[in-house]
Amino acid sequence: MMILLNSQPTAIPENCDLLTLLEATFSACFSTFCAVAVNRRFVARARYSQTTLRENDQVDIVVPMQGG
Amino acid sequence: MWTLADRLLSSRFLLGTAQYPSLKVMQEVIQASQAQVLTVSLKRQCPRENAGADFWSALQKLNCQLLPNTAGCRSAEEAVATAEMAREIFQTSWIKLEVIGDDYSLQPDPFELLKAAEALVQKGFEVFPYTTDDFVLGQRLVDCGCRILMPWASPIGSGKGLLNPYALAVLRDRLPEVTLIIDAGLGKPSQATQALELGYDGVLLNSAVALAEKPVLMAAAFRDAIIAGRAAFKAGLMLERNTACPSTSLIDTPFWRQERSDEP
Repeated sequence: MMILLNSQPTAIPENCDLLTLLEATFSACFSTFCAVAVNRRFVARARYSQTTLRENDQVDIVVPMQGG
Repeated sequence: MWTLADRLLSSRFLLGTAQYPSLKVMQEVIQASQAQVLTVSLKRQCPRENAGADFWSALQKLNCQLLPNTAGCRSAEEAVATAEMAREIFQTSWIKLEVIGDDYSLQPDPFELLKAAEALVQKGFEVFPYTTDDFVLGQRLVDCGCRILMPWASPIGSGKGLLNPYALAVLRDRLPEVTLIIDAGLGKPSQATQALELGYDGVLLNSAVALAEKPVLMAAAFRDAIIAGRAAFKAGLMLERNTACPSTSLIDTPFWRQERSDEP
C-alpha cells in the first residue's frame, strides 16, 4: 500500500506499524532527535509499535533546525 | 536575576538561532549576547540524511534553555502537533506559540492562537504566545493560563522597532503580573532599550543580529542596550513635559533682567 512519507509517495507492506517503517527505512540513522506525526497528529515514541499505518496515511518526520 | 516561567535567569536577552552565516558564527553570537534562552525550530526531513545532527550537537554544547517555536503553523491543530513533537525532541515543555494568520505581515491569527494556547496549557506546556499588541487578546491568553506574553513590536524581520509604543505600554500597565517579552520587529539596540524602559521583562530577536554586518558585535550591542533599558526602568524615568524648563537655575544669573541703557 502507499503512504506519504514527508510528502513523498512511499510503498510499505500492509499492516505495517510505525516502528517497523522507521527502523526499516532509516535503520541506525533513526535517532532520538526525530519526532513523528501521522495525519497531522503527534505520535509519541512509545506508541510507534502500536500505530498501524493505513493506505494514504501522511507520515511527517521532523528534526531540529535553527529558528527565530 | 529574574524568573522566566520557573527558570532563574541573569540575561533578559532571548535570541533566535536562525539566519547566521555559519554554526560557528551562531555560537560566537550566543556567547557575546550572554543569552540564556535560545529559540529553535523543527523541519520536515528524513533522518537518513543525518539532518540536524550538526545543529543538535552545537546546541547541546551551549547549555542554554531552549525555546522551540511552532513557526509555519497556520492552525491550532498544526501548532499543537508541532509543539508536541518539539517537546519530545527538545525535552522541554516551553513552547513559543506561533500561529500565523497573514503571509504578508506574518501577523498572528488571534482566533487560532487562543485555541492552540488553551489546548497546550491543558497538555502541560509553558506557552509563550507570539501575539499582537492587542490588550483584549492578551487578556484572553492570560485567562486561559499563559503566564508570559510575547507581543510583536512590528512585523517579523522588518526591523521597524516599536510601531505602537502606546499599545505596548497599555499591555504593561494592565497586565502587571504577566511576564512581557517583545518578540519580533526590533532592528536597533536603541529599540530594545525602549522596550525595557517601558517595563518589558525582556526581548526576543534574531534578524537584527543575524543580518548585521558584524553579528557578534551587534549581539554585544543588544546585550548592553537591554541592560541599559532595564536599569533606566528601575531608575524611574523623569516625567515628560510640554514646555522647556532650564536645568540651570536662573536665580542670581549674571545680568539677568539687567536693564540696558539703550532700551526705551
